[in-house]
Amino acid sequence: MGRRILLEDEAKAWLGRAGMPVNPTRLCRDDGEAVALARAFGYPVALKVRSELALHKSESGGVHLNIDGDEEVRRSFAVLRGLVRDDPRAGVTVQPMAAPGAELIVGVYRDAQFGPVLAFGPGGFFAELYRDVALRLLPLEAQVVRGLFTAIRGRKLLTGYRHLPPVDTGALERLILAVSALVEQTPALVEMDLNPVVAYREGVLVLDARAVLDDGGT
Amino acid sequence: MTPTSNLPALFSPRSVAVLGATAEVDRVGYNILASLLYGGFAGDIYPVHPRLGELQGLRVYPSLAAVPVPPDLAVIALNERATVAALKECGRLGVRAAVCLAGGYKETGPAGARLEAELVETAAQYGIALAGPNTLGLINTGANLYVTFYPLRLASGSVSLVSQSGGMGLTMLYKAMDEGLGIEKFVVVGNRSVLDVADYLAYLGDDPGTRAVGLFLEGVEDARRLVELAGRVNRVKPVVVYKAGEAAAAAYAALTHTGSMVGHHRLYLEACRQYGLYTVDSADRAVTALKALTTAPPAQGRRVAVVTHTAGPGIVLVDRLGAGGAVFPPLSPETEAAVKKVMGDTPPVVIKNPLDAAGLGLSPDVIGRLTAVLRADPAFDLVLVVFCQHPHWPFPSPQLASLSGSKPVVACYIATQAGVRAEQGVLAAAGVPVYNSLEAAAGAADALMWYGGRGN
Repeated sequence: MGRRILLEDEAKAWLGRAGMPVNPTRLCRDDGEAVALARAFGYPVALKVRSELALHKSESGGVHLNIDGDEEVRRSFAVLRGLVRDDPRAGVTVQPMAAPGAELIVGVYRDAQFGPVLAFGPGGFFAELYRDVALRLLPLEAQVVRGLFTAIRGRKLLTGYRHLPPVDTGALERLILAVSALVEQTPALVEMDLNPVVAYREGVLVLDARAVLDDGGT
Repeated sequence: MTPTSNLPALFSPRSVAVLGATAEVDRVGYNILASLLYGGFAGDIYPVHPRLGELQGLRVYPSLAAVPVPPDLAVIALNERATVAALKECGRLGVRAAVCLAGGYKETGPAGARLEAELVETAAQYGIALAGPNTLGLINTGANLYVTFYPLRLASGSVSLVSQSGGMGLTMLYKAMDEGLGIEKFVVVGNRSVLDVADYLAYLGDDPGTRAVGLFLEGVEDARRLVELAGRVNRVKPVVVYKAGEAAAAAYAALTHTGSMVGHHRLYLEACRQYGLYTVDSADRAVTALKALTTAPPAQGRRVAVVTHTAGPGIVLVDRLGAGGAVFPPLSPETEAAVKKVMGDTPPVVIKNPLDAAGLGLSPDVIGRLTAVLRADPAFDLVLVVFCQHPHWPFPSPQLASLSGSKPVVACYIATQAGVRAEQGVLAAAGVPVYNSLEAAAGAADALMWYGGRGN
């Protein structure tokens, strides 16, 4: 089965068109373009490597956060581009720095016997460490989505924990229902991660995403 | 007619032919006949064997065609090749249901798979409800129909079991016998080449004699269809799922985090819970839950009271049930006053929940009255009663059985299996499931709370 990977900027653009709140993310081919984008977004910004050879960006040192100034953007661009010299299609993405909040993962995959499945839990760097995800068969109804919020061990992440305020579960519910609808409309979608989704007191934001589509080839 | 529309002939035949009946005691064909007779099947039984005249007191017919009236059900205890020929004859003669016991089909390779395809084709052509092949058989206690090669006689009840394994099916049956739990229908699905788990489940969902269904699953191809169907049945009668295969690793080559984080067994359990099904991780727990769900009313919440005469079991119950989300609220002033009416104004115990009546609780009357008091308190959804077996202090069974009300009471008698057995009947009739381990009693309470809240 032929597969096409939607990298961060492509996946977020797709999710954004589907009405989901995404952190705007643009691909740039050279450092001049990166600086122009960074200025347009306003500092500070985040730069990330963009290549199929570096899907796990943090692990490969491909995420530079809190870049604050034109010179820093140029230096960062050079380092990131250097990580994936072997990939002629590689690039660097620029996006505004998002405020910190509760980091969650919303994932989708297809099981051979059950069909499309949604996974939800604490996300970001710790997602794989704790593996605290609840699974639900798609499509979902709102009531089932709300059940997700209490099904995970890390449910306090949603109700307020230490310095984190209680999160906007209404917005989170709308996001998950939108993912559910998108999966229904996209039979070619094989798997997808929205990780992290950052949830705030008001609103949620998809901070990183990638998707795998079956392109119909063999 | 189709295989599924002929399911009534499979479970409630008026007559049964046994193809491959034999006089050799260690053969499957002998034991099928013995099982039918021992179970007390009231319809006609036609043993078929080309040469024998009589078996176990029954006239033997030389062929299926020689049987005076085509039987509703043919039990085929022949080898895998002869089974194929026999099923074709069944179809030609108008037999509507068959149990094919032999193995040696798709589970053995391509040659077996071709033979199995012939069975499937024949069943489809004639609309035969075919159980198996490669099955231990089936039971319908309501019809005294025991079509397994393990001769059994079970207490009749309202629990039906569908098992993907003969050995696990027997595990649940024998545990049910120990627990005093009656069975309605039982089937081992075998290779599922004609009738699949979902077909049996749909049938049992509509079966008026079945009030709860237990499923033992190894895995099916269309798991989504099965879980969705089970969810629909579960709205009417509880479906308890024991899914094996926890150790089988997920064979999912994932490019995303999500894919690599998820095991297939986990997905099974969560999908079951999404549809409100109660999942367990052992045959014992399946039987425990099914007994609770068909004996007591479901709990309307997760607030539990415990009555005991020994503190430790109360602590253990709080541990076990608390992990599953149960809470143990304190007694209200009114309830405390009512407890004092039973135990006196200055009882030598601390009045709290769990309520340890200590020495006073050795009296079955005191236990019965305390249970009534806690059950009447609207702060509780379920009452657990603990009592230890003793040669001179009788169990509080008559007292618990005489309580009225619609709130579930679960009894835990710390006792031998033999000690608790005599208490099962009177308590079950009064809607009180009794267990002889704290783990089982906690499991029963958990199942009642789950079903009352459908998992919430």
